[in-house]
Amino acid sequence: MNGDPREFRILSRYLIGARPSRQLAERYERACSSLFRDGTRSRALNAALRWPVLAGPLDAACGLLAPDDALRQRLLVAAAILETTTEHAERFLPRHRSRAAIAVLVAWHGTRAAANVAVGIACFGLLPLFAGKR
Amino acid sequence: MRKNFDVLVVGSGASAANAAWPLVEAGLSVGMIDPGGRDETYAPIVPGDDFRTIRRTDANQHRYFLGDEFEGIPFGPVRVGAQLTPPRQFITRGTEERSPVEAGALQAAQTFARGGLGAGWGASAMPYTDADLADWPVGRSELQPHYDAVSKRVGISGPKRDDLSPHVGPLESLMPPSRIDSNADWVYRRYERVRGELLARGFRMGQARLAVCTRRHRGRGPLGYGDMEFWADQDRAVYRPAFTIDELATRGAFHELSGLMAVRYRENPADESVEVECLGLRTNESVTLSARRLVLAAGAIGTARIVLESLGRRNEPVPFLTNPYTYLPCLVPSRIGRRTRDRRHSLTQLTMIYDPDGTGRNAVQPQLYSYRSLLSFKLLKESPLPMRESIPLIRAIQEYLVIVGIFHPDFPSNGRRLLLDDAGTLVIRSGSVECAARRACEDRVAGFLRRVGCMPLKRIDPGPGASIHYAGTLPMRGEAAAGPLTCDADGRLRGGKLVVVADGSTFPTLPAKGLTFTLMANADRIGAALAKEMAS
Ligand SMILES: Cc1cc2nc3c(=O)[nH]c(=O)nc-3n(C[C@H](O)[C@H](O)[C@H](O)COP(=O)(O)OP(=O)(O)OC[C@H]3O[C@@H](n4cnc5c(N)ncnc54)[C@H](O)[C@@H]3O)c2cc1C
Repeated sequence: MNGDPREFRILSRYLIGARPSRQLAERYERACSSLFRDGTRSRALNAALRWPVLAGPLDAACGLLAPDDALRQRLLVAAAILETTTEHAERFLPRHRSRAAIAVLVAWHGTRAAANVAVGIACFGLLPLFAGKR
Repeated sequence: MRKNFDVLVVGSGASAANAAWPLVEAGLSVGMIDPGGRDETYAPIVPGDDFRTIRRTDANQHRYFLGDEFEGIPFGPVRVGAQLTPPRQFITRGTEERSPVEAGALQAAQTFARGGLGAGWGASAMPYTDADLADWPVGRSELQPHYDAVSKRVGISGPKRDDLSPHVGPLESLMPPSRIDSNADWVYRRYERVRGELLARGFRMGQARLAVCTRRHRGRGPLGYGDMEFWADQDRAVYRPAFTIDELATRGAFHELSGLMAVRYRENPADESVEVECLGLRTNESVTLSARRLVLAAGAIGTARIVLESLGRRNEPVPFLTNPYTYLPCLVPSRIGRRTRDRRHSLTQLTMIYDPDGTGRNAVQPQLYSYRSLLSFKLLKESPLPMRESIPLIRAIQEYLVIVGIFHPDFPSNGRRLLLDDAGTLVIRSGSVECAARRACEDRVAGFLRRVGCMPLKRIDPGPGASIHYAGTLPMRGEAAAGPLTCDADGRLRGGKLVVVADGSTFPTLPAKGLTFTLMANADRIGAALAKEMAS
């Protein structure tokens, strides 16, 4: 199905580590039917939904190698839906932090991003082997 | 419907509203023909609170931030008007079908909205100086009383004096400048420290002149600093042409003829009247209206269509001007970790002028905004990092992110042309693009930005037409350069007697400064001249 609730749950858990309400899942489904009328999917999206632990690495790889991949597009829609809710807005609203805290944050997320890229590029290269497998 | 007027005005945008004003003031009966598109979906549901409060409390926020059809979630490259958020998208709705344009890569935004593109404009209001008007048959002294009249009507705020003053000229009745946000404040202070060096290199900076009421004015404002300007007209502080039409509508002599699209006109020299054939957009029926004079102000693209159709000039190319535009997202690194004032507005904070040869003719205009109210998911799309890591990083640095938009001037020598083909499609042919010179100039601007503490992160070229500044299709020329499909200095279309053009079509050149303040002043001038002529 185009943007089913399970898909949104996996993407939200990956993006903000939270389980979204049913109402938001329905909104995501409506957004996907309206934005992706042809229901386009990709190997990366299918793999991230099948093995949610790969969502981060595959997102990282797509960010560099295939920014318009269906996985990135669905993540963007999920992020937009989460951002525009009272429950999750705070996770997106700018927050003041000291210079040192920002430096730590950049180092931490930078390292995680680099690790995800390394794993992701390897996984991305292997995706054709799993194509069509369910 | 009343069918005979002293004057018919086509359009309801910034030009039309301000051309109609002096005509109504002179006691003439004025009919305003316009499709009259409005937003009835979102305006009623946006609360009057500030951005942060809305984000925390309004359960319906997704409706206007994302749109009921999720039209606010952008895919593909950055294109026309990021400020055209879902509540503003009614502005361009319905035009493709009724007024087809084939422009290739060029973005030609048309409007059928009440208030025109001004229903969503950014309100940056820089007047033209004599240097900007070098190729025009009118100078600043002729425009001056009309800049002043428009300032009083729409409300312009800005500093009385700063380094931009030589590029602004005198403006009466300025309201106090709006309060700038923390990034702009920081950058401006840096500028003050190195200003001698930058001025010597042709770069200057000042606070934006904005068509925004910073105090109560004609029932509008004052600006509430809620940072919701891209989404709603909460305090009516930012000028919208519809406000002028609302004021005109209280006068008996003014008639808003909504739901009509002007198709063609015909002058009848025998009885000194002009007939306008319109299409009723709801009924699909043809309606003919007549008047002693016709003022065309359907925007540079819309007016060109009506004139070319009426005069039977299909396949005849006319010039087309649009300011080339580039964005530079920048970080203000030395502010990182500092606190940011929450109350702010989303519009231009600082305006810069870079005048490379000191003539003013080739000056470019960078403008600085802070990024917040357009939401952070749009930044996620631009980030090459995994989204999960981008969210906290963007959250931490977003307050130190600014966008600098650089406008370049445009001249008819660009070779860009517009024509109406046999099928009734407006075709815009892109001209030569001077990429190398433009890039070199932007590199120098990037260097100046670094000097004032802004670190450009990337360069985004949203493509031709993205400035949404269009002009030059029926240029005003003095008698020596008169030709068909040109206007005289009072906007009168040559070859006829009863039709004047009052919008950007008449601009012979397009300086880098936003055109709309001058559109309004020029429209007021043309309307006033017509009123005077009709009285005599
Ligand atoms: C997002 C955005 C931000 C902007 N920011 C700035 C800024 O900061 N500074 C600046 O100077 N400029 C800015 N602009 C540009 C500015 O909005 C336009 O230059 C200005 O509004 C043009 O006014 P106009 O009345 O000449 O034409 P338009 O706004 O195009 O109005 C044309 C009018 O004619 C009507 N019309 C069209 N065809 C017909 C027809 N056949 N019959 C009857 N009526 C017709 C339309 O409904 C409309 O009312 C911005 C534009 C946008 C979209």
